[in-house]
Amino acid sequence: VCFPNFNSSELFGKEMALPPNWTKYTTDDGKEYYHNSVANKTQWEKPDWSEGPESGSFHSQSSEVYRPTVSDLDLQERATGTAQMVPLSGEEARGGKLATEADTVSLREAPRGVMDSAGGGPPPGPQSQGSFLGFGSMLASAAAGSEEGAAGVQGWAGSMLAYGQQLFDVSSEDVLKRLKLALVPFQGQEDAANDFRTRPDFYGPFWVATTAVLFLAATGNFARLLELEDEQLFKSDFSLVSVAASMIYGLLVAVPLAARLGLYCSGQSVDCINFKQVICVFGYSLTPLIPMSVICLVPMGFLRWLAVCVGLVTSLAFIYGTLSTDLAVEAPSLKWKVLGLFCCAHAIIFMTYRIYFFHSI
Amino acid sequence: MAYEPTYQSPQFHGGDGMVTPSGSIESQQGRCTLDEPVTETIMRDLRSIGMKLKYVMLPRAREDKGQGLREWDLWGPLVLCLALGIMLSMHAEQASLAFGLVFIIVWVGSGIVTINALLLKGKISFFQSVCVLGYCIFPLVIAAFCSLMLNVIWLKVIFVTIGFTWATGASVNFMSELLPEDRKALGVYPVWLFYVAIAWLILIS
Repeated sequence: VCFPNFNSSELFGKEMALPPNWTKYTTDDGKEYYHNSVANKTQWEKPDWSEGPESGSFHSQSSEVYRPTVSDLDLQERATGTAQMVPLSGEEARGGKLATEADTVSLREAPRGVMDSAGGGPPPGPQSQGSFLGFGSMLASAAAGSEEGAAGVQGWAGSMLAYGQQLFDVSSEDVLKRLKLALVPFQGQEDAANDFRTRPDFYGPFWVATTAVLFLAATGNFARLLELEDEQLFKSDFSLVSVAASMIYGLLVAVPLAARLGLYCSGQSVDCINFKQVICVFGYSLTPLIPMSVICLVPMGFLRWLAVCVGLVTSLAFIYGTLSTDLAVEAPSLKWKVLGLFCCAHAIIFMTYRIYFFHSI
Repeated sequence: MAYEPTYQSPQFHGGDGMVTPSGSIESQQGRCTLDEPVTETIMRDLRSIGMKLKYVMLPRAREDKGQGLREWDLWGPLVLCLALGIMLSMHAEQASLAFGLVFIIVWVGSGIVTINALLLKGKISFFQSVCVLGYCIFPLVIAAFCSLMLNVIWLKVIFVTIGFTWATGASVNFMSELLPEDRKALGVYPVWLFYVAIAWLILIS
């Protein structure tokens, strides 16, 4: 596997004034680029004075190469096609690069597929000039893809990223608010339900689930360490991590799927329940696992059972509070079945944790 | 300055301007690296890795937010991950599970943390972020090595805590700088969680 690297070209100009209509900008990375407002041209190299304001012409058709512009960094601007064609500077056009370009086309094609998971798909062509269009734009997308991983993505990967960004469109306060709600569910039920319905996010579910997996495995191991008489005999049990991970991630995926299947089998339209909202609520309802697992470190059987029960009740109350009204409206016949499904899932998680992760009851 | 194309086999390399895939259009020094002895090629990479490791350990990394790791490469994280996996699985009962877990947590973990930052509309280059997260494991690797030598639980905890604080310093600054204002905490928390997971792995071995 190789990870190709594309250098930004050397700036040949010395420090001197710019020709008329040229302006210098700096990217966030500190790289400098130059823009000609009259000819509407953008390039990495400092323009020499020989290029006048009339330079709509290029050095030669065949020496054109697409240069990534800062507008490539922005996904929105990409859609409007602000990519520019820019002439190779004189120094690079010399030296017979053109002969090797055909080789580099095929070479760059292969590694690029391996390089970046986000990269892929045919790059859109900028305004066509000359026969090196396809090569130039492929170079550009590869270059942009390696320099700015997500921002240079084109095609289907770009739209997937944009879709994902919609799902993660929350701010820190939103997430904190939702977490607090999941822990103490008996406050502000109405706005909470609205919030989850209109703006479900996947950040919370995923990271709450991951944190829960880690905490469950960690506290399980730690509790076993505390219970042992002799510390030296402790051998950590890594299988707890796999058990916790498969349980939590599995249920996070399986429960909404099962609900969807149930909807399908009962003959109703699958779209009537907002599944993003369901997944979001289910994910956030895993939050009580985290404080509960910390409390379970205390080696008292009664306290552990109490913590598990309180956690279970909190999760279920949260789910009921946020989903019940919506379900009653969207799929009234299935409301109790879906809620019952969530109950079972949570019971499985909490009971498995209490009984399997701790040796002593 | 005339440019000669450099025909060199592709390497695990980032942006230092010296290594490019065969048939590249330009190279900054314009020298043909095909003629140099193999040791020179390997030493160049090793020196680059060593430089970056030293950079991670210095306090300067915490201030300028990881700029020295701008030229990313993935050899360093791979070496660190292997070292950590070997150290942690040496005395473990389920050695293969431990090693596999270390590998998965380091690579999949840094990938997921980076994708999370990308999804939160951060302006991050994927491989540079994986590189920074990987290199910042170095203090934890040192802590793991020290705790392997001594078996006293107190010292282990202290070493791992120091290593963890050091590791999170540079990488958290790096990550938070590239995220939008209202989401810095959202992007930084997974980084913290990532190093907590590795620190926990070290502690329980």
